[in-house]
Amino acid sequence: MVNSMIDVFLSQDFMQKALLAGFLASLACGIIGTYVVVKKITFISGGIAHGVLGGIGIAYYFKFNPLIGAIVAALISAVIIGLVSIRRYQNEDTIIGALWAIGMAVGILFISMTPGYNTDLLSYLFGNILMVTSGDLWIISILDLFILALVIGFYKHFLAVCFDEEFARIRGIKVEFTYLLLLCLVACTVVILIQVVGLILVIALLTLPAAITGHFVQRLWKIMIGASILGIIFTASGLIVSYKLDIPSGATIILISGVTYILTSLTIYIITKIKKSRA
Amino acid sequence: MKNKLPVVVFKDVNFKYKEVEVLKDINININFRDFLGVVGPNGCGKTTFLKMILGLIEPDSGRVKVLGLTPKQARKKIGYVSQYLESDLSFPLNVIDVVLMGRIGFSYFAFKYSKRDKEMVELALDEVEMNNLKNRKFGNLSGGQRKRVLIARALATEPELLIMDEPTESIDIKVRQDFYELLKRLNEKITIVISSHDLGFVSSYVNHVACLNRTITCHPTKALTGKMIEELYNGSIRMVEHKTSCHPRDSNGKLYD
Repeated sequence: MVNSMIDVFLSQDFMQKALLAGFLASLACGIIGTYVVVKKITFISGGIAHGVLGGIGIAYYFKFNPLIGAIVAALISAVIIGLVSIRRYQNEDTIIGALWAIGMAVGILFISMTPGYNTDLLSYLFGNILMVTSGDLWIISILDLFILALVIGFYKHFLAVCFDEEFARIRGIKVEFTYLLLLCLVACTVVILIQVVGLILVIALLTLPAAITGHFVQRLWKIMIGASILGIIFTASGLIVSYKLDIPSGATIILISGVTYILTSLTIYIITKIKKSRA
Repeated sequence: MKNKLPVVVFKDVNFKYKEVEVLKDINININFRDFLGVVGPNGCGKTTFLKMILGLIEPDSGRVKVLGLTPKQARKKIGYVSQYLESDLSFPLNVIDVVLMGRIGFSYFAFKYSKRDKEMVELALDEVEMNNLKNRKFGNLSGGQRKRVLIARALATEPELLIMDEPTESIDIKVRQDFYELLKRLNEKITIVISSHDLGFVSSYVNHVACLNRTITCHPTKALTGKMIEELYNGSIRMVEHKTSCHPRDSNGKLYD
């Protein structure tokens, strides 16, 4: 019976596309999410994600592909927020918070000014992986390849800059450039993940798989692989559950990831407590 | 020819941090195979002085030359061990990953390290006697062990000049002795500059002591024996007593509040 359900499930075109999108997104979120977690730039990533809505709104208004608008807006907010962060302004937090809100406000304004505006806004906020088109899949694949190529090409540099900026600088690495490049990759990943879970929930999918894997393995590239696999499990199981129960897919994927994160963290906490009390 | 040129030259260097004069009229030549100990009370410009050699801090006026180049051009030939590590200990990487960072810029592989890179890393880990822990997570080591790993990372860069900021802090006495013996051995080939508040210990190894307290005074320790060491040691005690004079002064030598 389960088999037949999965057969039905897989035979549907939109489901195949959704699964493929989840798979491609998991690669990006596993790799880049690992950097976000170890470099502790979750808030910066959140700023980038919400800045994206501005680009989507403008794209809507001028009637070009919202995904392209999202990519451009994500890259622009990555560079702006990156520069704010590099300059180490004392109120970096506030500045990023402001950019975060401004991006959203711009998006909402432009979407409201667009004649015949429809409920697509909600699918950008909360994601609708079931609506992914073949064109979207192509763009996501290209972004994935771009991310993969740059991470392989700059692996040593990213690691050095994340771990010890000062030493990286002495070794001749252009630290600011490398950091901005990393944030641009975060931006690309965010755009991909928006297709899957929407920009409100993006941060969870970006960080949770890497955070969970980080409990168990202790080298950067191993976390990347583990987080990618976890991402695939979360998106696929989230899709199946949401399909079966007829509930929103994005929220289901995030709930599964979030609950897994809390359970693993709690288990590890309890195990170490027990070990300590025995020792 | 390289041996004739001074490795580091400071010419009339001044530096202020937020109106506070940190370095004033610094003039010093550090020559090939010098082993210079920079001493002085806390907050009196030791780290600033070292970072200036690395080009991480630019002087307000005056010139710094390293190996005949600007500090930024020369910095790849400098091995550096900072006083503190910014990164937090949960960072997921092993001891060997940390030391391998010292090999960045040596080979053109993007992802992998060359055979020679790995050999140099093994050698550096042997030097600080950390090879048996190379597959441990860096953040799980003790403070002293982490320091040794960072020293290995600096050695892996095959430096012509080695700069260490308070390297013996958090290293216990027994290891400290070995550590200075290691530096002495390295000093046969390369120039070394270390900062320390541990003058008594340092003075038996270094061949120059630079007393830094806004201005710099250099004493050779080459021919130091008994009484002179004592004098030098007294000197350090005097400097500890001068701790308050670390505060910025105006031109009349009066303390600012």
